[in-house]
Amino acid sequence: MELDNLKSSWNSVSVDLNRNEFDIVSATKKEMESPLNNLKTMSKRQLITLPLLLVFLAVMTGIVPDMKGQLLVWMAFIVLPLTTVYYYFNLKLISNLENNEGAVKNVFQRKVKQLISNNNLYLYLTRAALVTLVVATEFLIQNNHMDLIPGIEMIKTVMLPLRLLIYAGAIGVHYVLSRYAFNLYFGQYLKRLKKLLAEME
Amino acid sequence: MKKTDLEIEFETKLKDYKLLIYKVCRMYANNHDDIQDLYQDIIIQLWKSYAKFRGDAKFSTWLYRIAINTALSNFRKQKRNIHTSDVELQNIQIPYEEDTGLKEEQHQQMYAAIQQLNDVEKSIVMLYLEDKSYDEMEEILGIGNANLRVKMSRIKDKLRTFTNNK
Repeated sequence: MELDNLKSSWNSVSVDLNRNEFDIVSATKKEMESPLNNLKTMSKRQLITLPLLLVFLAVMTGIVPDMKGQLLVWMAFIVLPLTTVYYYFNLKLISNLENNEGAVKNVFQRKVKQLISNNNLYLYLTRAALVTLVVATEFLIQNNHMDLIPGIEMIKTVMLPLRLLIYAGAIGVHYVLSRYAFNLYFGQYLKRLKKLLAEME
Repeated sequence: MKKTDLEIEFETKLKDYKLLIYKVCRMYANNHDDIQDLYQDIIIQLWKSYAKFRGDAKFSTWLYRIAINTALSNFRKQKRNIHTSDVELQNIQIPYEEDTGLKEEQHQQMYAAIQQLNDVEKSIVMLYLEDKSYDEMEEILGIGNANLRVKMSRIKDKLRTFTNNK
């Protein structure tokens, strides 16, 4: 039996798809609960919350004079807009992942590229923020500016080698957590896309 | 609720292609519930993209691309919950195919063999059975013409092996 012999029977498949009323559009208007939809909702929520937090922080800094002297507050003024930008791109990424237009292979390649570059962007941004915080903390300790970060005195009591170990641990934990988060949200999807692309080669 | 012109246009256009979508679902889903779920997923994806369809490609090519894309990237292990009432679900019941001469043992064997292929090979077989030329397959799948011919030859060999081993 050859594949060609199957063509006639394949083309004679008949299914009564009109047996019931087939209201396509009312079905399509229903919201679907999928992993991507959850991520989309989360990103939208962050896009509203983070700018509000930024405004709140700005107002509070204007009202409470002590806050102007806090390094963490000024770091928040840098981190919050960056995080907002990240969530904006995340939302765009999710919308792009839902877009299935174009030749199948091209769509998969585009999605893999977007997933990887989005993850890299997230990693670089958060790593940069973490390293900046570590460097700033150490700089302040070395120069005895204890008032800029609350609780910094406690860190100062720890011996330098141990402190360096704690910094390295924090960076390591960030690495593990960010990998875990990416795999949790996109890992399975990315793996499947890569497998399909390998099958297409 | 009154339908918009776009909705009516979409429904009218889709009427001729229901069987095609069903065949894609049949190729990738193994039971009635999965076929229904996938059918609904594909319809939703088509509807989402329809407003952007400008006719650059043939409607059937556009439809195949989205249907196969959806079927291939479907999360089968994470079954989606669709918030529709039972009444609305009844509207999209997809009956199983009737017996239409598919009972022949050889045909059954061949269908069983196709099920053993990987997902990309299945899409190639499906387009082949739909009498699509290699150029059309390339347009839909994005796999080069020469690569498709090699793959098709390998698929035929595989199917021969699978059916001979039965």
